[in-house]
Amino acid sequence: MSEETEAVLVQLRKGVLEYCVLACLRGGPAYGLELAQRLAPHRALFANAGTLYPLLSRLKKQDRVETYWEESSSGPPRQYYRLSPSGTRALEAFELVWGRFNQDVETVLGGESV
Amino acid sequence: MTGESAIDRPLVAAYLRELDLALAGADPRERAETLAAIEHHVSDALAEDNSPEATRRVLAELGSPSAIAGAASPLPSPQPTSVAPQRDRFATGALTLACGSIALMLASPLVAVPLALITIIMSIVHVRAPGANRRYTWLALGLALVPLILVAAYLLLFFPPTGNDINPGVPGFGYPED
Repeated sequence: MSEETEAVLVQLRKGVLEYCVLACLRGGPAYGLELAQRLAPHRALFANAGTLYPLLSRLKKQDRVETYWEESSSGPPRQYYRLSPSGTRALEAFELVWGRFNQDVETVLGGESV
Repeated sequence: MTGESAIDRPLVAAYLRELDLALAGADPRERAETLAAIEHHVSDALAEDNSPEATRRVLAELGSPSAIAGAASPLPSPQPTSVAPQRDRFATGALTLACGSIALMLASPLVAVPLALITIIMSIVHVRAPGANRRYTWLALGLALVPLILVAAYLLLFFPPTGNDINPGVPGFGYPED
């Protein structure tokens, strides 16, 4: 991947990745590694697993995710992340505008109305 | 414990040290939570296979410490609250006038006293203004009082009020007597 395409992706991820993390938690709570594995196949969206953790810390600070600890059968207790009511509302708002946003970008890039 | 043995590996320890350093400029809470969460991630990922190859693969998937630090919120920059008042030119001007009035006390009291009065009025009006350097303004006010106090002391010393001066009952005061 060229430096330029990587720079574009870095910018795009900034506004989108947090909602994708919230969307991944909609199916149920997950611990860090589990969440990283859910996102791992989407390489354009999620390049480094490590970048998930500062993002989760911010989402927790914003009360969009909640955390709790649960015993693990294979090691030390795990910290689980789950969607909070505020996170659910934020995700719904994002979904509401994303379709329109995506459509506008595609239209402009396609040169149909410019 | 499997998790602890994974963290004890020199490769992981070096990675975490580098990450801690890279996060030095990040929000402290985010820094601590990120470090702890990555330690757990590594422990979980190496729970079944903690071979050197697996360790290298897990760390590569996490990405470079600088990339992780790049995703963290930077420390909030300090607010320049203490700098703004010091640039208060009005307060500096009032301070200069107050010093000037003291300096002119002996040479020209007729100039020094009005200058001190102007400084006091300016300082009283300015001290509550937003962004005012209150310390400088109060200092100017205090210094401007010095010439006035000295003049008052001088007048009291050399022209003390006498009973006649203040006695309105003196017959024919200001008028020739019959």
